[in-house]
Amino acid sequence: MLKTENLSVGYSNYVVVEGINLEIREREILCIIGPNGAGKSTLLKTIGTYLKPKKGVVYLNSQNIHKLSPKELAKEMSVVLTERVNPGNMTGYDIVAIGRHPYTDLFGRLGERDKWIIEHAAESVNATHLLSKNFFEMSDGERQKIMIARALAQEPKVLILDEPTSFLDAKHKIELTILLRKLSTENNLAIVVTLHDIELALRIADKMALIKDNRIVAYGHPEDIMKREIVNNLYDLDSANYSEVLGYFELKSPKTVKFNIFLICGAGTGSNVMRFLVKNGYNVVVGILHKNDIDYTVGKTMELKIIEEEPYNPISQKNYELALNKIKSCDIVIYTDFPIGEINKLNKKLVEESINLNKYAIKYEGSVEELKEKLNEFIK
Amino acid sequence: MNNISKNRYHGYYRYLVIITLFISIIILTVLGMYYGGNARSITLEDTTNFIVYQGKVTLNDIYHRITGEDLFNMPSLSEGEKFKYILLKKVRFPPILGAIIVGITLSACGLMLQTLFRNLLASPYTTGISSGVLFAVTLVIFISSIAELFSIFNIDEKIVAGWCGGILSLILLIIIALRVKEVNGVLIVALLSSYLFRGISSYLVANGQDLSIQEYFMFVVGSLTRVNLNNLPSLILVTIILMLGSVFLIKPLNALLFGESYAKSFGLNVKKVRVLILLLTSFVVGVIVPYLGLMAFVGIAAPYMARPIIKTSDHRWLLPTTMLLGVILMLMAHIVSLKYWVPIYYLYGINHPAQVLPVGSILDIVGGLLVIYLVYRGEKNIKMI
Repeated sequence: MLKTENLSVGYSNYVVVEGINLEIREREILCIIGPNGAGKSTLLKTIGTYLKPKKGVVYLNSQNIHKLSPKELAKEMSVVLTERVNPGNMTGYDIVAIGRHPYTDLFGRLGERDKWIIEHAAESVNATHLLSKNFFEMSDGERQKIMIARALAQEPKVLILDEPTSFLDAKHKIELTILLRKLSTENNLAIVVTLHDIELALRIADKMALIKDNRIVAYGHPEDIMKREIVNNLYDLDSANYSEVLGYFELKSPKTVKFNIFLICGAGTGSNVMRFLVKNGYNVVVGILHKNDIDYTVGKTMELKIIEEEPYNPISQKNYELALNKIKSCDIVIYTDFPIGEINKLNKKLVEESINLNKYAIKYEGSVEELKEKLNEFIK
Repeated sequence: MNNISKNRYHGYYRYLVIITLFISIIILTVLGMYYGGNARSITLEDTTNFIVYQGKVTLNDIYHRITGEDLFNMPSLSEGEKFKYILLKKVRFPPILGAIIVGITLSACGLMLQTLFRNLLASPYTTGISSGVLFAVTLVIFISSIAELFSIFNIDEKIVAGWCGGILSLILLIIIALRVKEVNGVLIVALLSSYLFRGISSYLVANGQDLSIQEYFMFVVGSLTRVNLNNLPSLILVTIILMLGSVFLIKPLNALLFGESYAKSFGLNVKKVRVLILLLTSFVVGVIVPYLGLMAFVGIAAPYMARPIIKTSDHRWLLPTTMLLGVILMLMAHIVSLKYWVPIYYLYGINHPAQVLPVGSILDIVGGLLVIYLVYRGEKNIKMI
């Protein structure tokens, strides 16, 4: 469908990204990800023929896209740009109707088929109620929907979206994500989209291209290429880590507070405590976690010190001793309401032992507010 | 389905607006002819009779040319009527038609440029054409040797000079328009070049004679007094060209509402349309301004007022509304300038008789107040480019 061959993009006197070989077929979503200024938009502008390629070719159905006339291209490809439009006093219907521009006659009159397509386009983005609403009265989410309906009314085969989620709240972001997937399958669209939110990209993309340092650093199925080293390197992260399991980042501990805390948790009960403690700069040791515990994943992403146990094995005596030693050298022990089963019985013993050792032990019962008060008491 | 019925309602409303504006223009035309001079013997009835008579004559003429027969039996006129009709035709009619032409052309140009530049302050004069025209005319007014040079064409030398100035700045503008990526670059260059031309003009004005300065001033403000039956054909021709051209530009203009990047993705050849709009508007301005002087405000005020009235940015409706409103503005300003000029004469005790106010100054005052009021009333109207 859409294919770039050894493409180099850039402006008049310098190249931004070179050696781009991407391909996208019908019913596929290609997501382009990269740090600000890496050239995502430049690439998209070149595919959208706003810029001429410095080298290489972009093919649309094996035709050179830059040699098509604007009108021919408009029937094959439509775009939704980041720039906010201000078309003045127009209803949603008028806006979607503009999508019929390449098909209508000299005066832009709409035929029966055009009208049907307009209504159908609005329907497929759930925006029928917006057709009679005035554009300047719409919220950002509604505007984005109408602009996408407009793009659909163009009956394209390729849809290009430049950061469609930038102005949207969580609900609309998710709706848009689902919508794009739906459109790609129902309308047989090939969709190219740039995104800032990698967690969204991971969830909608069939193919993903990561751009950095003038080149594509990785290209393929997002599940294959979104590895910790690649993503960390992509954004030059040193104070946070990407986790493949979580599909997002966790901050690393800045370690500004002098207190050592031992956290006993498991089965996801400790994740929020870890986030709270790391955020506030405590030095945290976590124990004893099985490697298949979600708390383990979170803690590992934060690069915390974890006393770890192999999956599904009961906690060994050796690790128990190790943890007890750690507890002795810690100032505070925090334990959560973690479930206790056959393999983590020793964690319960750890809690009892630390109370016996007269450690300042805090039970976390789901409220960070209480936890904070108790920590402050200790510090005083 | 609700939406479709709503659209139909909008349709009725819009037709109503257009018809109302059209009727007001006819009334204002008659009033303008009636107030158009000092001969008290001409009544309102005479004016309407004249319009009907003249209409019949024209139709008869056309019919006669095609079939060789007469359509109407023309009644013979009395001597008094003949005199009155000549007065109406030669003195009162040309400024009215001038006002109508200016109203149509400049307001339509203003709207097109506002949409092209996506800027409410764009007007036929921000393209720099008018400064070119003004510059050439200033040279003719103040430097007699240049005036002699232009007088060889046997037409008013100011008009010829204005055309030359217009063509020169047009060439400049097209070169810029083809080179600049961002359309607002054109706006900035045009604005700055107008300062350049003004600078040279003001040097000439500072050293000019009283009479030349008055002439220059009248040209800058703009007045309808120079329009006469001889130069009406070329003005009408320009208007027809503009109206035909604008019909072809309606669809591109609607696409341009979304900005140039989007317009391109709708299948529009943006550079071609940009040059086409600039070419058409500057051609119109270049031809009309030498006759009538700068009448800057109608190009800004008419589109501005049309938007809230017609309640859509769709140029299929907005463009005709703007043209009609432009005509109404011009006719009203013309009538006011004829009859109700402010008695500065009495206030300041000027000894020589006061001039009839140039229509441009009325337009600036009335239009300015109107637009300020509109901005004050609803900020959101500003966004309705």
